[in-house]
Amino acid sequence: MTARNHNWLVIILFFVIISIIFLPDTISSRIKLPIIYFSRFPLYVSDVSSNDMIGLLQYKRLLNENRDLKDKLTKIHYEVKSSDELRLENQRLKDLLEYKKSLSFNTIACHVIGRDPSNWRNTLLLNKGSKVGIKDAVGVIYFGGLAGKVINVYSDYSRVMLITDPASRVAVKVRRTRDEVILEGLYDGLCRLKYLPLDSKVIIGDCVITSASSSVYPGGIYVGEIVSIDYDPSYTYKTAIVRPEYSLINLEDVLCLKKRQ
Amino acid sequence: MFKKTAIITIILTIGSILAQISFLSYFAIFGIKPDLVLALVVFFSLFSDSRTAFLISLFSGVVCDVFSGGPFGLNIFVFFCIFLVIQVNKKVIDTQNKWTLFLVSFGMFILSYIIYYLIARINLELPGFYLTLKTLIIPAALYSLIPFYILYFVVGKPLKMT
Repeated sequence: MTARNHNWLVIILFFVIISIIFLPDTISSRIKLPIIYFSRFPLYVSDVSSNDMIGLLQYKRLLNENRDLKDKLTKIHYEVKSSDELRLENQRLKDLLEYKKSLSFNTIACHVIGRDPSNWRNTLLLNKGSKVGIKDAVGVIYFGGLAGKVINVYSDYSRVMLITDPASRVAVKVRRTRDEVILEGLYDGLCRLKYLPLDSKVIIGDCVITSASSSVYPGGIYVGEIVSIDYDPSYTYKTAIVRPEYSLINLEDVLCLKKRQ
Repeated sequence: MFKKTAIITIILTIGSILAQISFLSYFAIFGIKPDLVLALVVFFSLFSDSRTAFLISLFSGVVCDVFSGGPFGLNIFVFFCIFLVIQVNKKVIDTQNKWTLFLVSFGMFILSYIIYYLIARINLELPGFYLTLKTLIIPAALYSLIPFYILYFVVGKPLKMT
C-alpha cells in the first residue's frame, strides 16, 4: 500500500469517527448494547473482587462499625421499652392528677415502695412521712377511690392499712339505698359489708361510698361495687361482698388526704 | 464450705424478702400470694444444719416484721416455732420420701399460719377461724408449696443439701 492510499484511509476514518459522534441516539445505543453485553462478565468480576477487596481492607473498620450499630440498636431497644414504662407511669399520674383536681381537700402524692410480706395483712409502705405532713393525713386514696388509712408514720416513710386488710373497719354508705354499714377487709382482696338490715334493698352493682359520719375518712369517697349479697348464718342481718375498682395491693401511687388548715 | 453456704443463704434470704415485699403480690391469686420467706425457713430448717437454719429463721423474722404491718416480733416467733418443731422432729422426718416431704412442708405451713392467727387475734380484730382457714390458711399453704419445691430443685439439689 502506498503513502497516498494511507492518506485516504486516514481521511475516511476521520469522517467515520465524526459521523459516529453525530449519530442519532437510537442508532448509537444499538451499537453500545452488544458492547456492554459482552463486557458485563468482566465488569461483574471486577466489581465483586473490588468490593471484596475493599471489604477485606476495611474489615476492622466494618467490625467496629457493626459493634457500634449493635450497641446503638440495643440502646434504642432499651429506650423504646423504657418509654413504654414512662407512658404507663404518665397515664397513671395523669389519672391521679385528674382525681386530685376533683377533690376538696389537700393531698400529698406518695409512691408505694413496699408491700406487706405476709398474707395476713394488706399494708403498703409509702415513700413519705411526717416530714411532709403525713401525720395529719385522714385517709389514703387512689385514682379509683378509697385505698385505706395511714397507721404508722415515720420521718420519711409511712404505712397504710388498706381497706382490704382483715383488721380494717370503715364506716360506709350504699349510695342508692343510703344504708350505713361497716365495711371490713377480707383476705382475698375483697371487702365485706357487715350488718346490712334484712330489709335492705341493696342489689348487685350498687356503689359503696364512705360515710360522712366516719371520723377517719371524709364522706362521699368511692369505695367499690357490691358483687354478691348473702345472709349471715344466724339470719339476723345481710352481708355483701364489695370489690374495689383496682387490686389495692398492687397500687403504685396514692394520694394522702390532709385536712385543710 | 460453711462460708460458701452462709453467703448463698444470706443472698437467698435477702433476695426472697425483697421479692416478697415487691413483686410477688403480682402473683397473687384471689389475694393470696406465695409465701417465699416461709418456704425458705421451712426448707433450711429441714435441709441445713441447725445453726444456719436458726440464723435464717431469726433474720427472716426480723426483716419480715420490719416490713409487715402486724405486731413486731410475731414473724420472729412464728419462724422460730417452725424451726424448733422441725429440729425436734428432724430425726423422724424422712426427707428422702417425697410424700413425707410434701406432708411435712404443708403441715409446717399450716402450723405457722395457725400460730400467727392465734397470736394476732390477741390485738387484731381478724375474721373468724373457719373463714380464715378456708380463705387464707389452706390456699396460702398450698400456694407456698410452689416456692418450696422451686427451692428444693433449684437450691437443694445443686448444693447437695437434699
